[in-house]
Amino acid sequence: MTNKKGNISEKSREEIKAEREAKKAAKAHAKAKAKSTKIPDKDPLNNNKSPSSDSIKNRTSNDTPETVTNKNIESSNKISVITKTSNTCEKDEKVVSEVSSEGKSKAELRAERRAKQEAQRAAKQQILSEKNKNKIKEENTNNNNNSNNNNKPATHTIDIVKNVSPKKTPKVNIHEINLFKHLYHERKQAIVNVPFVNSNIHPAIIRLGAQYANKIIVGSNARCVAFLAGVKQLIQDFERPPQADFIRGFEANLQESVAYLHHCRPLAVSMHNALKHLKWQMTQFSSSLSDVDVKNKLSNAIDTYIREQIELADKAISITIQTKISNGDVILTYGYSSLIHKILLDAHTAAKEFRVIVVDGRPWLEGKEQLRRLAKHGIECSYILINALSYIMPEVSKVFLGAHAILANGSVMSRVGTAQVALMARAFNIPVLVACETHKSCERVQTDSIVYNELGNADELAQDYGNGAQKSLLTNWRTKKFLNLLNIVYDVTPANLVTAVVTELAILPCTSVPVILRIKPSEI
Amino acid sequence: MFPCKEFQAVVLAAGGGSRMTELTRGQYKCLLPIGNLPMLWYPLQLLERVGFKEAIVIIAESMERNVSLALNDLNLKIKTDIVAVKNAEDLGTADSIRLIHEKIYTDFLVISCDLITDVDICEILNLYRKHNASITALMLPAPKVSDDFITPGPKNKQKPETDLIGICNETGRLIFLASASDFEETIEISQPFLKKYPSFTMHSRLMDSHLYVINKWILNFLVQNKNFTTLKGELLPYIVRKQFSKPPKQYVDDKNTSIVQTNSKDAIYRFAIEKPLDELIRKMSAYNDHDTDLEDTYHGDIIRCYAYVGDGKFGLRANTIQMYHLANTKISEWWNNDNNEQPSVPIIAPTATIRSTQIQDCRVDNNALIEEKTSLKHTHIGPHVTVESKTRISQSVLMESAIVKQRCIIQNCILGSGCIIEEGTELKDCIVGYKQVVPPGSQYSREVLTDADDLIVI
Repeated sequence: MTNKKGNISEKSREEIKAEREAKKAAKAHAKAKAKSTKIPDKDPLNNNKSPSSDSIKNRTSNDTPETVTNKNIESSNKISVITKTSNTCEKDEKVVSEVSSEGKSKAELRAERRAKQEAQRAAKQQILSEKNKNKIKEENTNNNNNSNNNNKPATHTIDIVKNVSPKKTPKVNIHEINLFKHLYHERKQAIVNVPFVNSNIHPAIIRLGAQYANKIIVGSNARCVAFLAGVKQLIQDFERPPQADFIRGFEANLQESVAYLHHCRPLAVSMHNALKHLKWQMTQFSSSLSDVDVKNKLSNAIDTYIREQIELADKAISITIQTKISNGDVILTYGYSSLIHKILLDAHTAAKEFRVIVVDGRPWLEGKEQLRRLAKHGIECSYILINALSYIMPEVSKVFLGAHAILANGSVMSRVGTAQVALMARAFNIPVLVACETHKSCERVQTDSIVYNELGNADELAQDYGNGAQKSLLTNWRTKKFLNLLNIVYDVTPANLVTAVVTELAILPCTSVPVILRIKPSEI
Repeated sequence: MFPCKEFQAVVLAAGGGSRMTELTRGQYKCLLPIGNLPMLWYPLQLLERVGFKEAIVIIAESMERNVSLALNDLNLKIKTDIVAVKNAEDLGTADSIRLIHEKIYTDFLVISCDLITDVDICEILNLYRKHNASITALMLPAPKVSDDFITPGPKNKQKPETDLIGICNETGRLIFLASASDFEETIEISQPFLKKYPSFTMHSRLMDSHLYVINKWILNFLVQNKNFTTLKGELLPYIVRKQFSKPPKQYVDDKNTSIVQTNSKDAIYRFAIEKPLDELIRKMSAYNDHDTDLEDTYHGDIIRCYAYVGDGKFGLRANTIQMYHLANTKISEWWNNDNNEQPSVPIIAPTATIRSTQIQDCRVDNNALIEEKTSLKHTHIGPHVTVESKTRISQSVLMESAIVKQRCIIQNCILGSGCIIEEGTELKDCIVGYKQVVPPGSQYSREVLTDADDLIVI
């Protein structure tokens, strides 16, 4: 598709003209053929639509030479649909639709009429004819070459072409949402071909992958620790490949393992950072070290990382944040965060009197786990779903949120729903504290949740809750052609909604995150 | 690059077939033909399909030569390491595993040679991986035997064994396992048990398929404890029960004393040890496997058994004559319906000589000779079998080198290898033993024709 687009923008006027001529000729040829042999049988995909209703025309605007968009205008009800012919299309659906619905030039109207006529003719022909697919295919290819760039309304054949081309990637992508196409693509890229049993990936990693994929190990910290534990085992069991450096060999293997884990579930930012740290550690070793020494050193490095970056950091944050919890507070939190859990528990043990409201959101309902673990220790808790948030907000005195990652522009990436909670808190003027260890900081800058995110399994949204008393209405959503479900995992809370970020270094305003990134040695 | 694999596969094929002695006299159970393939082929094929490159096959010493020959003929891609065990007849399954423990260095999968199924093992392994289980067992719905299915041989006196299998509805954990014959009328379930698992299903129609994925530490435990002789009967129920015990504190606190107390009943916790970071990870993760109480994930249990309830098209253990015969009658249906990825069993071998025109749904193996004017229906004919003219055979199994003379009528029978059916015999629902000669002109129905001496032994 991108190639096509590139071609288009490079074409000169002469070329375009030439192409138009060629196209005309091809069409005339086709018509002649149609008369003689009673064609065209259309693509099976197209057959189920009644052709008269979907008089579709394909129009290419040459006005803006940079962004050539292919539009399908359904003239019967004036709804424009963007066909995905180029990547630029997905940018601005609205703009395009506006353009099409408002001022239509005479030429356009004429084009539409023409399209209608053409569609009707096609319908007739369809009724008359049955076969001759081969010839049609020929035409298709002809048209395909020529039709990219013409002002003349395309006939049905264009439609056929379109239906033919996505055949390579079958049904699967029907339910993909345009705005998130790149994420689906990323997932497809990540597929690693690994034999199911006894591949050359370490069993601990395979097991870890299964646990990530099934959400047995979930949460940024847990995933990071589990990853490090897995790598530690990898190190211990690794044998230097013949005639190779231990570190080199190990790095290659680690890379493979990481690719596998990424295939199971995209790596968390915390894991990326841990990996970076490990790699940095490995570069520090001198080549004269024996294998056993390297193993020990790496294992120690991992242990230190877990202790310092995660356990001690959690502790430090918990101590810092205690000053912000006072008796009689009502603390609202969203979902499950191991750090928030620890903070609240510590506050409870310190005999602070406070109440917790756990807000939860579908589909993962991790807040239930937070609730369970807090209630187990006798902390007074309430539990609501996120749609009741505004109702409960007036009672709240502080909002504590966990984070998946903290980005360089101070935005906080966290479980989807967090941004909404922060926004609501802002509306009620309630301070929002985000607790986040520095090992989760990320150099990336992101202002929305679209550019980078993780796609959860959309079927999770169609799950029925409440012990299957009633089946979810969405159970069969995949059979509905125009129903798409999107289950994104994270969202990005802009920095201005967050009062402060609590890190193990200090309580800081969000905007100071770059400072942390700077003072933190890059290797951690 | 790593010395260890994730799973090893162990096929238990040393069994003598004590539940089907009529057939196993003179021939080895694991080589009994099902659809003209030795029984052993099916589990090995199952393993091969998942991607196992090698498997350990435990057999009895006496059958070593036959089995290796048979395996060579099968053209399986999977590499088999055949281990012969002395006096296999007296040994239980756990004993055999204990004997070969030196060959096992990682988690392993135990499969019995009589398991005929098409269940996807991937799912079982994934379940095992997911929860880091101690044992994961495959449970299959007991095969339905239709009423008009008649097992050859005399009317069955013994009832089929029923397992009682308790599976937690929420977590899929295997929480109860016993044989139904252990109970008179009532089963007592303790209160703590009910508290821990408020919702579970006690299945009596499921059958333990004897396919287990077993953690390495259980092997270590097994090696230390010589009391266990069988996996299914003793070890598995024990491990399942042990899920409810709490690990004693002392092992955690004081490792020096624990080594001394070997015969304490908590000895299992010297083997069931979590990796140091596992607990931290569990605490940090938002996962929990159950909903109804405030307990931790997995209730903090270190020993965890899971049951995977198979939903394959078919699955049975061919360890009784009934099941063996059922497998034989259904196998073409099961195996042929399958898609092409599975290597299909050739229906009629190229070297067979067939002069008959009436052959329906039969499998004919190498060098079989079928004369003209015979009629064969739904029958498996082994290699080197001779069927002479004017004979009718239906729904039967003819094992290797069986000879059926002229004018016989054979219906729903199992003819052991090397047997000779003389002229004009009529057999209905019979089992003919190894190298048995049935006199001419005789008529039998629902009988076992073997040497009388052996029947006494049985």
